[in-house]
Amino acid sequence: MEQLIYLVAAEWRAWRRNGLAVALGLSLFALIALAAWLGTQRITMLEAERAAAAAADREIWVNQGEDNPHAAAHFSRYAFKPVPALAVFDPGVLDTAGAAIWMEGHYQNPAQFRLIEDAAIGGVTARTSPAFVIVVFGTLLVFVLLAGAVAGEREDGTLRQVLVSGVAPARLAGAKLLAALVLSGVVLIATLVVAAAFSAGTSAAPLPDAGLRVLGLIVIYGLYFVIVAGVALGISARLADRRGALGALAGLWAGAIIAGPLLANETALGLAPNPDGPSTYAKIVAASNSYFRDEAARREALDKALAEYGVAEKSALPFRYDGYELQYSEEVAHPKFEAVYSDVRAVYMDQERILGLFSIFLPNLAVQKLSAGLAGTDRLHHAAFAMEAEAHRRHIVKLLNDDLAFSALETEGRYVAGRALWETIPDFQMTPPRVDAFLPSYLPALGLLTVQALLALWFARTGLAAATRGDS
Amino acid sequence: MVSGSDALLQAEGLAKTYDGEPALDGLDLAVAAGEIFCLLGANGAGKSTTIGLFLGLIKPTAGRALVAGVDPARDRLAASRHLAYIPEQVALYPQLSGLENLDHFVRLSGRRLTPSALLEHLSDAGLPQDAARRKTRTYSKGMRQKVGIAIAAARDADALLLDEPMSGLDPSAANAFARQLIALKEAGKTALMATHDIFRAKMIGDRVGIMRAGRLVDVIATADVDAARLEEIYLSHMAEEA
Repeated sequence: MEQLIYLVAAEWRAWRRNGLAVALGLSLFALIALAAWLGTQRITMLEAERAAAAAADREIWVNQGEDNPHAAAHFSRYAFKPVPALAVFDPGVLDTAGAAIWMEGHYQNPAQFRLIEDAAIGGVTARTSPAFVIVVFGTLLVFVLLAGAVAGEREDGTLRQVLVSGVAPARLAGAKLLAALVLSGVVLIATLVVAAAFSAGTSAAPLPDAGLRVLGLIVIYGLYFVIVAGVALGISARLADRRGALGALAGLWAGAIIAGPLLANETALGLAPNPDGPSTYAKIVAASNSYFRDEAARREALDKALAEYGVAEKSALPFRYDGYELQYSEEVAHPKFEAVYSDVRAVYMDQERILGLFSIFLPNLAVQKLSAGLAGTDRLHHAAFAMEAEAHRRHIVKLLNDDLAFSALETEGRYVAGRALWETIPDFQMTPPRVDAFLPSYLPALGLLTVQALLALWFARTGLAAATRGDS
Repeated sequence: MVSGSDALLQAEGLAKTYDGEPALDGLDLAVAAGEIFCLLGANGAGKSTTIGLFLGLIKPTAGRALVAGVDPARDRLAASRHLAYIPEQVALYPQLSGLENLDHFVRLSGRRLTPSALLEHLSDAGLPQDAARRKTRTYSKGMRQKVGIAIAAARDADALLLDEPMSGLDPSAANAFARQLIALKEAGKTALMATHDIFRAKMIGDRVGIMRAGRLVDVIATADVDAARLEEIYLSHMAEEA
């Protein structure tokens, strides 16, 4: 153990004295700090906008004046998506999935107000996150550090000298791997601390299981850097000199980190194209209108109500039928809305499956998926928000329809309600879900990362075993 | 003649072929504790292969090498505890000083020495104190070989394997190196040295083995011959090859 610790310390000393490694490491920390600061700015801005919009929404709602509850249901309110504190570390789909849902009567609307729509020139840089920096530049740093780990020692002749000094190849490989992992761990922990320090200054929503999520992030990035370090060491062990190893790793970095994800995304979009907004909205409108345009269905609903209450005329019902029918039409539309969104989700699931296949060769894709999930900013968390917003919409609409059906019973002509009713309509509140709610969706990617990490260790071990055989 | 039981380094029918071509062909050799045995031969005679087999860096095709009774092909780590290795070009980490390199390789072998003890080893090997603290990227070959000798001495290994360690050294540096080796022998160390230098072999070695085409064709006690006779014998063997 003493020898192992010494070897790790020796690797660190070598890196400290390597000008390129020091420059890259400092650049990495600077980028992480910059990304965390930019993320904080973005979330502070989002939260401020959200709070202002929520307050304005409430003010407008309660001060809308007297109106028919059904008209108020059309006017309705907004559900604003809470921004989790870990979004500073990994914003996931925060910029692209929409920040609010209009909870309009009759319609299950999609989310709108995407931050990306407001991006100025240079917006891509401004959206750089610590998670992005770790994967892109952390990988590059480990590749640069480990390119010469074995190839360089072989080129210089020190590998033979080390081996005849009584160091087992497995221990040497373990030490080099461990040194890279300790460095990666330091980078990751520093990133999380920086992100946490920055996010503490925002009013982002605290996650109910933040500790578990941070632990999960450490595990998945830990596995990722085992893969990166294992592959780098394996390649370094198999190539004759550090220049060749660095070239091979640079190519791998460009392929796996830059080109691979682009290809994967284009393939996913090509094979499972995003549902286009207008046609999806047309389906929602059709679902909404289906009841009122179907006279037979309306007649059937009336007959059912009359039969249920044992009366012959609408006027004999113990409520206003228009309020009842509006609620009835809502409930008829619910499964139709669910079918529309189920189709949309199926497309995203297909895309996820395609990306999942690519992640067999691109572990960074699996990390990206898990990282956003653990940060509470992936599509699943967005879907949870959309579902909760829809449940809230249904609740609001029912309160308004019930008021129309029951409170308006004695009113002749057009019924109007006022501030007293509007104030009974609850604000949308949402606590971000616990991560274990999505565990079945994350386990395959986590399992894949674990297998890839084991394969990478094997790759490094066998490479070093070959490199330390004199016959090679 | 050294019997197997007295030998610290021993080869028994040791052979290595590369692509069917024998690099070493049935070497039988026993080097006693406290003895310096020099292997003389032309390039490709099998000297470096022999050293590599004793180091356990090459797997033998047949036979075995033994270091203090341990087969390095089976347990390189155990064998390496008895060995120090000085190649033709001692490999050092250029970003470390001579002192740091010495400390590094000594610690890898499981020992720890104080800085003053390390400096003493370097000084004994002939490296000045101011040079010991300089990065080795500035070192000449002679200085690197001195660090190599210091590593071998500081590790306190029983046996030294030397692969043409004086090749390319100027006469003064080669002489200093030879004297260091003799000092180590006097301290009880054993050495197996591959060399082209007949005169240093005569000066340092207790016995000289002449290798030709992977075979040990002659073994001569240096006390029985002078340098001129040794050269004559060597050349006659080389002439047979031609």
